[in-house]
Amino acid sequence: MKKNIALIGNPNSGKTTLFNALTGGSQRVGNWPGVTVEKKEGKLRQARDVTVTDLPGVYSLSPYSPEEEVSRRFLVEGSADAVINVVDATNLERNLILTLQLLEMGIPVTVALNMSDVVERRGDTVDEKKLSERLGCPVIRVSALKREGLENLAATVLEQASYGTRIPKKFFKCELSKAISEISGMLEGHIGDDLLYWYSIKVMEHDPHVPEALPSPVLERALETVRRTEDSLGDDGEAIIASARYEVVDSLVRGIYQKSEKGGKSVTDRIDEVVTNRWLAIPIFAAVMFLVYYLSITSVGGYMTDWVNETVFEENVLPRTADWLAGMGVEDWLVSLIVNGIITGVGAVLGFLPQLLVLFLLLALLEDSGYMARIAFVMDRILRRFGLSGKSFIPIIVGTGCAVPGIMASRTIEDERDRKITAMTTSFMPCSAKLPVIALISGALFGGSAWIAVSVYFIGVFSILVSGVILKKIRGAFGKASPFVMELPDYHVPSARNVVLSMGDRSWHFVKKAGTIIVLASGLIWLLTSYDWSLNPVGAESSMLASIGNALSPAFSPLGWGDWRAVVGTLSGLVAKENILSTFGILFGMEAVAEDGAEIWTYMATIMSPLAGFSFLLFNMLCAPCFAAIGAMRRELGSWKETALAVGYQCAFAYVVALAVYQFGLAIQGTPSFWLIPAALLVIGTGYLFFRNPGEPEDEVPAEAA
Amino acid sequence: MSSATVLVLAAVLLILALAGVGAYRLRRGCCGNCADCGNCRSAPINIKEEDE
Repeated sequence: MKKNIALIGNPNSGKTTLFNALTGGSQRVGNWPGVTVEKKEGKLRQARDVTVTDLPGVYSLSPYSPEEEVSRRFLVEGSADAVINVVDATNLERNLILTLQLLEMGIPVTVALNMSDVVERRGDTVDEKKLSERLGCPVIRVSALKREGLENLAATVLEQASYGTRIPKKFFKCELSKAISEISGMLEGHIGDDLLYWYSIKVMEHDPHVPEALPSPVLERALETVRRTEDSLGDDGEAIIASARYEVVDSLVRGIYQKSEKGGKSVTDRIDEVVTNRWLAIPIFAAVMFLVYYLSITSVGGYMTDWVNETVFEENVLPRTADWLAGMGVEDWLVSLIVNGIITGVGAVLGFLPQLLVLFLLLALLEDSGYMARIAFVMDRILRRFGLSGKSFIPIIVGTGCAVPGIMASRTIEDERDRKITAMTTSFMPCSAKLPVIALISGALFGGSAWIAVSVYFIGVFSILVSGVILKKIRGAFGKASPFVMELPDYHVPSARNVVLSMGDRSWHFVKKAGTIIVLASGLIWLLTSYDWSLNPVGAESSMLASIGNALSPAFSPLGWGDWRAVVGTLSGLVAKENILSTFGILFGMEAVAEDGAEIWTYMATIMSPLAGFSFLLFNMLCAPCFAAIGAMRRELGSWKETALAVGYQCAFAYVVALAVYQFGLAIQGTPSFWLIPAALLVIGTGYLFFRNPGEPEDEVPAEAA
Repeated sequence: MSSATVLVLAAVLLILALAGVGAYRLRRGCCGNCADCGNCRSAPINIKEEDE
């Protein structure tokens, strides 16, 4: 019995958590809308021949956003035999608006009343039996997070899927109902019987896709009826349908949701009074991020990384492998490729895994508890002043793990210009691949200070704000801030499963990159470092890599790091940012291993000063991201031309920032150079692009937290 | 070239080839949820096809 079940619901109603629970999948879940930007498929645990499709979260089936398009197309094309409508029981009225639209389509619907445990905890009650009678479809109480009620839900939806017919539920009354029936009569023969009622409502709503499905004379006649009804009811068709749905939902929930008489503020309300406070929110966020980076880089993660780098790799893996291979009679060059190339390169990256594990754990805790969703809301107030929407902060949060899903998450932004600008700037955030580079610089040049990581994080946010304004002004779209509406979930103790899944996914991705791209790149870097252009074995200073680095180094000398090793490190970072580590590992590691086994990172300090190191860090954080992220940007921007412009902008911006930081830093230290003048001119130019034509934002719509 | 060198070289080339395949799988189009299509257990979506 091959069946398809679709999972649909409002954003942040717990669909992906339910999808994972039903299928045994491990799709990433998040405590903010837009985690699912495309549909996902899995097999139902209880019946492996049943496919479950997790559709993006939507508030309606109107085709106004990419998520709505995806979900609606899937349902209209008849791809689903039955639908599980995930309804957030704590926001029943708003969620049921979508339920009505699904029932109007006639697809067999099973309502999964999710977060029922939260309702109970509040002391409220929902009468699901009465709700089921009124809706005319099964309503099952579940908790996706606690995995309660799932067996019952699966059995019910499978029974629903076996019906095989679409019977639309009709909720509208009086004149509106008559008008829809009249339109249905006109559409007969042009639209299949199963979607006739739904299309009639869409005609009434002036749905932009209806003209594609109907011959113009038929549509014209139907629109006559729409206009007559609009005149009679004194509103436009879309508003008439919307208010009729609200009336229906209002009558549906009457007497079904009983609020507790305890009243007063909930724990969530009390926490929110502090963490979303106008004045305290940002300092608290800064303190939280400081703690996150302090724990992951400096303290817990730092100790573990030191142990892996020194004890595991430098004292054991490298010398033992070299001895073993030499003992077997393997030739020196091959021993060097394996030990000084591949193992050193991969080891230099993997050594930072403990720090990343701690970082991923802390970020997962913040995300799953509901705190990060608040930050998107808080940031909306700031972003709005820069003409950006708070929705742009969701990809930024996602991008802290990896820029690729962060860039993809920009799809949830309806406004095309905002969406493209967000896709172009998301990679300014320090992703997991950049964290080891931050740890390297802070460890080698700043005594392991957590402030370096925190400053890079906030410089990333600041760069997104500045670039957002500059790019919006260049594109002539400044001032049009898209509205941002998001649901703030209740705080809860993070689910161990979600936290482990999130941490595991991100870490596994990091390890796989080390085992694939970094292995290849390390082999290539070893080759380029060990031979000259005639393929004669030479020292690193006369190698092919050195000649490439030396040719390019004049361009980077004004930034303070003209040493060829720093230049080739930056170049290799274009493939994957971790490559910077493997390149330095190979370049410095050979000397360290050959001499006294001292920690390889101390050699970093010999090629750049702390100021130059910070400039190096900023350039590598802000310049073109890795190839995978550039590919993701290409998909979102839609053309290679725009992608090339975006990458060009990122590199130019990174250059200006790094140049300004280094040259102004030198001036403050009392040793200014000639390059201070070009640096000052570039800063003035950037300031001009930022401040020109400062107009008050139009169409300003404040964020709403439900 | 000693037989040990030949054997170890063959092993290294195999590892590099596997790493190349892995790198390709890691880099192909993904649905955006985890940027990890190579390990996707839920039928990755072909973005190009979806876009078309």
